[in-house]
Amino acid sequence: MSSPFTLIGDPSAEACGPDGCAIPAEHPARAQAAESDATAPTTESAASLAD
Amino acid sequence: MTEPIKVDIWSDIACPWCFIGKRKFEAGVAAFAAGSDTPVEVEYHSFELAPDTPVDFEGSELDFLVSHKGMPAEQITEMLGRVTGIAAQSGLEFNFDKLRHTNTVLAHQALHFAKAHGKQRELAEVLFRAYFTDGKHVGNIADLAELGATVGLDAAELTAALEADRYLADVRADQAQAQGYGIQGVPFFVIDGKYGVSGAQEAQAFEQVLTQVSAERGA
Repeated sequence: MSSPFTLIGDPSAEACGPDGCAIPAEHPARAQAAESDATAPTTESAASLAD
Repeated sequence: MTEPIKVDIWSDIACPWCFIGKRKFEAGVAAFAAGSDTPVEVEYHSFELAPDTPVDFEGSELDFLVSHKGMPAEQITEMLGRVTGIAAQSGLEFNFDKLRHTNTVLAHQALHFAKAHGKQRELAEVLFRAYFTDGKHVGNIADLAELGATVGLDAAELTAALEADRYLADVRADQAQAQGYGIQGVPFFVIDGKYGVSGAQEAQAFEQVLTQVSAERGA
């Protein structure tokens, strides 16, 4: 179903759904370090957490 | 007086990104308020991520995820560590080892009770902190009444409302509205009834959309 709203912001921002919560593929500290190499991971895995 | 910008937020207490997103949203509102005198009005709406969760799950968050999701303990521990690290970047302390996994439908009813008494934002903060930081139970009436009293709600009145499921219809109405809007994940923010912000966005995203709405009003 399409949203009746104009969506703003990063479409990959972390959220939780009925199937679980999106968890970054890397620990934030490691991801920050990787950013300097311009190879920071952006992939997220839909993992079931706290639901 | 300038008409406030209304922000409707769908979230669940048992949702780590909702608490993290709350902090980022608040930072965005603070940045917006530094350059604008337009007030921002917030209303929380119910979204149950796992309505089949038992009220009194015996065990840790790790135990719950291992037993209910069939994931390896090592993988879950690593995931919880990542989320804890991200929460800390927003100034939040997550203690998954103390977390009391529970059903949140009564907590949602308590939030509707609090809304009726002008204390919803305060109770939302208390419930998130109780769940993720303090390891308190947020799934039964006695604990919710105690937590409600900390924000000035009448514990006896809240208890009676929860025992009678007086606000269950409001919870279901929020859920139906979310379904009608196509909201599949939380947190989900609806700004001024026309812009949608999904997930724990950075503060700048919230500041930007609030600024945009304010500018459109003045156009």
